[in-house]
Amino acid sequence: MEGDMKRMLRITSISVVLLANLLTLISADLSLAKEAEFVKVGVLMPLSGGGAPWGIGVLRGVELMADKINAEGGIKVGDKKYQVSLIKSDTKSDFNVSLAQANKMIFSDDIKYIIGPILSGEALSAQTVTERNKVIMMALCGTPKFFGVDKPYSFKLNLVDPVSVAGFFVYLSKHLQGVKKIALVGPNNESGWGSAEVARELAKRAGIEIVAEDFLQPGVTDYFPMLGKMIPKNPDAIFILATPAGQVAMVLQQGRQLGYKKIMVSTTYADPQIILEKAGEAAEGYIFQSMDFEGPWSTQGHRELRKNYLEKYKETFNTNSGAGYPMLYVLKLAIEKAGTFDSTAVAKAMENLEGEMPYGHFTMGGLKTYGAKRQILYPLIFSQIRDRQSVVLDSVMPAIP
Amino acid sequence: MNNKRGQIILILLALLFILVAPSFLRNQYHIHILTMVFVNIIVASGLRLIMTTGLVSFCHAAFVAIGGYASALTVMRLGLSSWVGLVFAVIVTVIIAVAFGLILLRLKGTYFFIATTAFGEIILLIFTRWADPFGGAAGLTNIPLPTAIMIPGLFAIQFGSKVSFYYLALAIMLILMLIAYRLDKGRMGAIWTGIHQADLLAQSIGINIMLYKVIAFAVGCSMAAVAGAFQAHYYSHINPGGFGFFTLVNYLIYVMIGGSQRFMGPVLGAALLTLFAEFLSLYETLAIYQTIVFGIVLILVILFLPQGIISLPGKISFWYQQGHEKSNGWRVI
Repeated sequence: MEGDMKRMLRITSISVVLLANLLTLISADLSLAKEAEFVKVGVLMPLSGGGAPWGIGVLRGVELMADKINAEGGIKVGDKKYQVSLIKSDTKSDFNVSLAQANKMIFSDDIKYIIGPILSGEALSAQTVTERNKVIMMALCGTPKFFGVDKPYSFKLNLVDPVSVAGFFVYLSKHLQGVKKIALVGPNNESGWGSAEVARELAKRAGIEIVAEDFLQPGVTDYFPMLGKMIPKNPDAIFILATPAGQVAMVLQQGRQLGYKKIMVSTTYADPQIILEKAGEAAEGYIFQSMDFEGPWSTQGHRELRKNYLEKYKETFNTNSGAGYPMLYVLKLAIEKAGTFDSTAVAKAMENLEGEMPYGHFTMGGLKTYGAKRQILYPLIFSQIRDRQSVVLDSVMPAIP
Repeated sequence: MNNKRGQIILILLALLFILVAPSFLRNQYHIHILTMVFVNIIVASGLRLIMTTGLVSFCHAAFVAIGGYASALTVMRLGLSSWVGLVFAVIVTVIIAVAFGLILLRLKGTYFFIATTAFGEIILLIFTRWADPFGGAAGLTNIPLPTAIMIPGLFAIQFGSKVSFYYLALAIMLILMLIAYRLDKGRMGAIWTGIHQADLLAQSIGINIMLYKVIAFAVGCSMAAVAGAFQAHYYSHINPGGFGFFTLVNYLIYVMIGGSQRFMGPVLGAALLTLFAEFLSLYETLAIYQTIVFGIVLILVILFLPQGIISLPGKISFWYQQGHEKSNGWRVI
C-alpha cells in the first residue's frame, strides 16, 4: 500500500514537472528569426456559420491585395520594404469566438492591424480589446456604434450599411423623387438596428415617411407574416437592410408572391447572381448596391481583382471579394504616410488620408456624424435587375458629413 | 483511504501548478485561455448542480447574461463598485431563478426542455429589444474594470492586467467550487440525488422536492451569474449574441463529456474542451472542423464512456484488473 502511494506520488510529480516544462516551451518565444522583413496583418472573418459567404469572399479580396503588394515589393517604411504576412482567424460568426481570436492575435501573434470582423456584434466585442491595446481594426460592420471619438483605432474601409443607406438616399433624391413612403426590413441584430437608425434620420431629413419596419432573427426564412402586415400600408419602396443575398432573395420572392409590385431595394451589397438564382422572376426591378467588375462602370482595380481571383482560386468569382480588396491597400497608404508601423501614428495618418486606390479616388469622412473621420468614402454604384441582367443605374458619392 | 489521499495530493499539486502558472507562462494569451477555463468551470459546475436533481436546464446561458448585465448596469448606471454589482447580480439572479423556477420546475423531461429553452430565448430577446438600458443588440461597451481592492495601510489590488484577472477568476472559482462541493457532498446533495433517482419516493418520505429543486436551480444559476459578472468586467463588453443556444450547448457538452455524475466531471470537461478548442484553432485546417470534432468526441464519449471522461481512470483500472486476473488463470465471473 505504501509502495503504491509512493509510486503514485512519483508519477504525479514527474507528470507535473513534465507538464510545466511543456507549458514553458509552448509559451517560449519560438518565432523564427527576426520578423523585421514582414508586417503581420490579422484577418478576422467569419469563415463558417451565417457570415461565411461574406467572410470567405472578403478574405479572398484581402489575400489578392496582399499578393499584389508583395509582388510590388511590399510596404515601404524608411529605406526598407516589408512583405505583408496575413494571419487569418475564423470568428465562426460568433461574438465570443471573435473576442477570443482578437485576444489571440494581439497577445499571441503580436498583431497591430486587424481587417474585420464583418458582423456588428463581433466587431463591437473585439473592439474592447483592440482599442485598449492600440490595435487598428478595420471592420466591415454596419453599426454606427463602432465609431467614436473615444475609439481612435477603429475604422471602416469599405462601403456597407449604413453608408450604403446614405448613398441610396442620395440616389433616391436624384432619381426616385416619387418615393414618399418606405418600409424597412432588417435582421434583429446591431447591423439591422444600426442601419435602421441611419435610415430613419435620413428619411426624416428627406421628408419621407416610414410606414412600417420589422426586424427578424437572422436565418429566418419565412417573411410572409412580416410582409403581410407591411404591404397593406402601401410603401413606395421596401428597404432591405444589412441582409445577406440568400435572405434578400426570399424577401423578394415572398413580397412579389404577396402582390407587391413596387420598388424593393437592398442597401447592403448582395451578389446579383445569387439573387437571380434564388429569386428568379421575382428579382425583376430589384435595386441594389453593386460593384461592376467587368462592365463599363468597372475600374482597372475591379477588372484586375476579377482576373486575379479567377486565376488564383479557379472558382466562381465571389463578388464579396470586392469589399476586401482595397482595404489592405489603404492600410499600406496610411503606414507609408506615417512612415512608421506605430499604430497610433498610422491611425492618425489614416484619419486624414485622401488619394487614389484601386477603385478610384477616396476620402475619409464621418467627422460630423461620428465625431471623427474614420469612414472611407468613394463612389457607390447602384444597379437594377432588368430582364435577368444586372444593369448599372448610377454612381453616387455617399453623403456622410 | 490511500485512494482518497492520492486524490487529495493530486488536487493539491494541480492547485500549486495553477497558482504558479502565470510565472512561467510568458504569453498573455495563454493566461487568458486559462482564465476562460476557470470561467467555463464555474458555469459548467453550476449547470451540473442543477442536473443532480435530474433536470437539464436549457436557459443556463441566459443566466450568465443576466449576471453580466446586472453587474455592468449596477456599475455604469448607479456608479457603485463592481463588488456591489456582483452581489446585486447574484440577488437578481436568485429572485428570477426562484420566481421562474417555481413555474418551470413543475415540469419534467421534454416539457422542461421546451420551457427552459423558451425562457432563455425570451431573456435574450429582452436584452436585444431594449436599447435602454441594455444597449439592444449591440449590448453594453466600456464596462468598467473591477474596482480595486484596497487594504488600508497595506496595498491595493488593481485589476487591469491579464494576470490580475487570472487570479481573480481563480479565487472566484475556488470559492464557488468549495461551496458547491460542500452542498454536493452534504445532506443537500444527497437529497438532490434522491430526487433525481426517485422523486416520488423522496416525496413520500416527506421531502419537499419542489423546495430542493428550486434551491438547486437558484444555486446553479447564481454560479452562472457570477461567471457572467466576471466576464462582463473582464471583456468590458456584453451583448446578447454571446449567450445563444450554441453557447448553452457548449456548456452542456463540458458537463456531458466530463461526467455529470461526479463533482469533478464538469471541471475536467470544461478544462479539456476549452484547451482542446484552442489547440484546434492553432491549425487553420483543423479549426474549420472544430464543431465536427466536438460532435464526434461527444458521440464517442456517450457510447463508450457514458459516465464521462472522469470515469476513464476507473475503467482503465478495471480493464487492467480483469486482464491481470485472466493472465493469472483466474476465471472472470
